[in-house]
Amino acid sequence: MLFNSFEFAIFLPVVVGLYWVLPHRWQNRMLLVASYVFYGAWDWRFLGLILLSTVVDYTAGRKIGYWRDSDDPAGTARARRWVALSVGTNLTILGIFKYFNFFTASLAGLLGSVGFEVGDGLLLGIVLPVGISFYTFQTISYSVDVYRGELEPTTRFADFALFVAFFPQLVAGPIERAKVLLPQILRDRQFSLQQFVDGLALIFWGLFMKVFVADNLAPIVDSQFSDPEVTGFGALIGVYAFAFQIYGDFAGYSNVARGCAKLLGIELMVNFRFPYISLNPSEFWRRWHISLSTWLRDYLYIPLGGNRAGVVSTYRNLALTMLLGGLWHGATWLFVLWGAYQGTLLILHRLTADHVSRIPILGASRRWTPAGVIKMLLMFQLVCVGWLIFRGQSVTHILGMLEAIVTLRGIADLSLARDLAFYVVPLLVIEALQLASGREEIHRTRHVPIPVRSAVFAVLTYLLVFHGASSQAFIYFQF
Amino acid sequence: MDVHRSSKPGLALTRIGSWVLAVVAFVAVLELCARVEDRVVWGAPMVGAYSFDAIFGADSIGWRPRPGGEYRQFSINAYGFRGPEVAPEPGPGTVRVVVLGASESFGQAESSGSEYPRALETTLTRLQDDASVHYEVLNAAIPGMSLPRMHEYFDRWVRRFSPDVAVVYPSPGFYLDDTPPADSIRPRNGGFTPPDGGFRLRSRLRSALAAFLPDEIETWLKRRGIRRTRAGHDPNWPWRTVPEERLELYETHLAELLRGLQNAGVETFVVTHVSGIDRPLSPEDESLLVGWQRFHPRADRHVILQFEEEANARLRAVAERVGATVVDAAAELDPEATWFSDHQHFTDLGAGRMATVIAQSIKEASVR
Repeated sequence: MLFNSFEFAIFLPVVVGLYWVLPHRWQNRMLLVASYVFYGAWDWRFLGLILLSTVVDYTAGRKIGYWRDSDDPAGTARARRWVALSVGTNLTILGIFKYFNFFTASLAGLLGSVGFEVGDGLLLGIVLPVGISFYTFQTISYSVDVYRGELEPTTRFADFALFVAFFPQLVAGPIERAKVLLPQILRDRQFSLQQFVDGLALIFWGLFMKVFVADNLAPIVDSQFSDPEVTGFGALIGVYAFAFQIYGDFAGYSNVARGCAKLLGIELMVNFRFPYISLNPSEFWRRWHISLSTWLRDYLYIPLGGNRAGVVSTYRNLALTMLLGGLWHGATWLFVLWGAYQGTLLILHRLTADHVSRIPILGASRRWTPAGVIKMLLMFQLVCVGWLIFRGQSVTHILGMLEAIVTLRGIADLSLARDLAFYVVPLLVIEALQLASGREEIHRTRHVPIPVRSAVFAVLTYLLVFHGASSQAFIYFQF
Repeated sequence: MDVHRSSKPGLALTRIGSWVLAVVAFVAVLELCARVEDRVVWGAPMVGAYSFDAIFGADSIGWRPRPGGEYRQFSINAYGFRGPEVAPEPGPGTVRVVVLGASESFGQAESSGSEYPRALETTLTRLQDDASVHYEVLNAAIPGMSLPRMHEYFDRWVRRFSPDVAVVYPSPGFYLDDTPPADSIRPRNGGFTPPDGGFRLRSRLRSALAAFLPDEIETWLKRRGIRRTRAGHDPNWPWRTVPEERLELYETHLAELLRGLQNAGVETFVVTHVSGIDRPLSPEDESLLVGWQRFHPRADRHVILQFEEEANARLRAVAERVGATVVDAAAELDPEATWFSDHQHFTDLGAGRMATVIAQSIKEASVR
């Protein structure tokens, strides 16, 4: 069930309406059923995987809590074993359903290159379950947080099951931390009109980003990335369009998810903070897919040693984290390459930060100065090279597009730029207004007079309703 | 204390006022956006009427397209025909073809210049061996035009343009309306009255809602509408079998029109009606048929299809009787989904195919 579908337009009001007339315990049960219905609408068979993950992590959480707090000298080791079971189960699910074919195909390719033909016999005919990368990471964070003593294990299975399957963020995040989401599920929630209105505003803005921006840019991106004779200008516009398509798609989803959660009295974390105004790669990852980057930081980079064990280890940890972060996005070598590119940017940034700070423009630290704006635009180009790798079909294809851009191949079709501007400028204008007002959230606009707000919403409504593209799946569902 | 108390109603009024203002601003800006878009994309005026309905009106000739009317891809020439400007009389070496029909011929869903009468002009020119002969097609079709009205419109107006050839594409469906087609195009004394303005948002909202609704819901709503209409009538009101008297009427009106055209010295081609509904019915065809039945709720769905077939048979018989040429589009055009935008209106592809079929018939008849 897509957020931008008719089915969801019926589903959400029914769920929200029922939710606020039920007592707390029944609210959670009803939400759990609704979440399973929401997920089962794609493929009910994969509900079994969610249930497996839920049962294992619920049990592991309780055992970890028990052994963590026990006086038994072997308690910590036993708790650690339960953590290993929880993490292992989730990674096995992920490994089988997402990466098995990738690794076996890669292995077969490798063996084939040295003369051992394996064929397709090793490949499994399985479909990638929607959202598997999101809920497995979310439940891993629960077991680890309980082990670290940052969270008490929950004793209410249904509430824990709701934490795993909470429908607004089940299939594409944000990847919520148990210590943030679980307490909200456990406690009684009060209806707040303000929160409700904020939720509606977020849903509206998220749908605008998805349906107007991302879905309308999709044909531009597809046409340029699939054109074997793409011009330099077309390739450039295609990459820029993809930068905003993936942003509109994913940030739009996160906004709708947060908005839906607000309608239910639950707060989810902010997942995107204007990533394209970043001045350097490090800042970019503090603004882009924040729930994943902080997850990788807390559950991978820091456990690997972070930056505590010397410069070389820090760079190794950074590289490893970004490589795995790339692989998280999909089981292809191009995502690994993208992760490697992001890791390289981060390492180069760390390596050169001191020197760069003394260079005019590149050393700009204040964003809204001429030098800062130029630096921002340069950083955006680096991000776009990453998106070219992310969206490209092969290394040859990526190099071909890069060559087209660098050599300015062919004649520029200016109508592409016009179309790109039509779909991107409204997004940029609203974000610029948000930044200028110092309120980074679309729903925090109460300082603007109501008629002005109303007029701005009318323009956005017009674009959304009459120029929104027909419903397309969210890009991040495949991850 | 008193001041505080008295300020409360004032504050409430201010709030109510600002919310009322917000709603007004919201609607006004939406409407403004619609007008700006019309202006930028189609060159439409910011004020005044701009809609499909506004390109039609009634004058002393009757209800017809307004000369000079413009709406999106629809352009009406100075004589009230859809298409480019023409001279009152055909030039030397020009074979003037006039197309008489309803919305299928006027063109509804096709992009500008792709409606079949326009495509017919291009195809006829392409198929023509003699370079000195030029074909000119006047699109004299009007949405909702039945046979008696075509006849009247031809006599009152179209024949003044000295057509050499008439292509008639009748819509038998009008004979399944509750009231049989009337023989008046409702002339009005004096010239056209200015069209009504009104909100441009309304039709946009309707289309947006239709696009958002899943097909199943849309079909269900149509079925419900049909059921309700039928429930408001006598149980014997619906036609369970083809109404013979309506077929007779269709035949009579068609024969009168064809004779009238021939008496005017116009070589006449009459085209069998085609629909986008294939048989046996697929679920998509079934929902298209429900959409069709919405216009003729009195007829059962199978009656609509059967009436169409029998009307085509009558058309062939009448044409033979009066000496008109039959263009058997129903036999030539398979109901391919890509050719139809709904149950009977053409897409660009379908219009192109229709034009080819008619052009070949005209060429075979060697009209020059």
